[in-house]
Amino acid sequence: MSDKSRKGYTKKEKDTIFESEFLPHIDSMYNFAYRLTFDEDDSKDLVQDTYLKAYRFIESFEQGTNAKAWLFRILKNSFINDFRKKSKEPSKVDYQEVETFYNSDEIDKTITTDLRVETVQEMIGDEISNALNSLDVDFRTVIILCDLEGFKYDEMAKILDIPIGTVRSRLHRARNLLKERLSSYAKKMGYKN
Amino acid sequence: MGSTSTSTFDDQGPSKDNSSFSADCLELLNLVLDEEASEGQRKFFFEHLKGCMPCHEQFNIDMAIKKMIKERCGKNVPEGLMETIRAKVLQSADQHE
Repeated sequence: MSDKSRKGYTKKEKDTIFESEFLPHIDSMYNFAYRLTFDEDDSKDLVQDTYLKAYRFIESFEQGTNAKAWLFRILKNSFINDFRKKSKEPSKVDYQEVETFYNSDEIDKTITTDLRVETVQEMIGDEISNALNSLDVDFRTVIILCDLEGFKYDEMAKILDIPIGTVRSRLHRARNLLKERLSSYAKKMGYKN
Repeated sequence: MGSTSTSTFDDQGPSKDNSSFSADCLELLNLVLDEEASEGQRKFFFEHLKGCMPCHEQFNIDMAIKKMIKERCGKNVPEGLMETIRAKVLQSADQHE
């Protein structure tokens, strides 16, 4: 911890951090919230709640570190603690099952070979978006964090409180599932595979 | 790289069967895709791609999907939310002063 965070921030410093390091991430935060809740009002509440907490606990934020990852971690925790309980989201995926899958030979067999680059490129945004939204929340989350927000594996591990190995296996499984969904969309839409 | 070394990559290689890849290939493919691979791993992977059509195709598809997600799955914050949050945060800060 730096001397600065031990001493604490002045009100002016807090406001500056809030304005220049926290607020610029609001689009990403809202998008993440929306992909978790699928509800505009819930997303607004979740983002607002995250920013209120971020300001309240600003002393634990060290200036110069990754504000976006710090904010995402708060949002994820708020979602689990405050929103997930009351949402209709299906229960968590069984991680043990995920890990067992990853360590089995089955992993080599799940690649969809009938999906072509051209097919993916011809898809409109809604198809990709719907396929992503159709994944279980834990799989959806790793794809959002990695592919949409560009977080590194170690940052994702901190945001999600899971080991890096689990980040990698979950991401791998999520991508396979996403490809399966895209492949069935492609078939339904009559794309040539 | 976890416990799996990519040194087996040369020997095993991806299977000739289009529907199946070695676990090492898939692991390396994801590392390269997410820019988490070391320079050596990247070089090794791209050298391997030259002679392996299944890996080459798979990598291109994964890249295309990743790019589409980045470009098409964003959502802007609703108008006014930033102002509302700013006002609420500053108000709560004043109350705690």
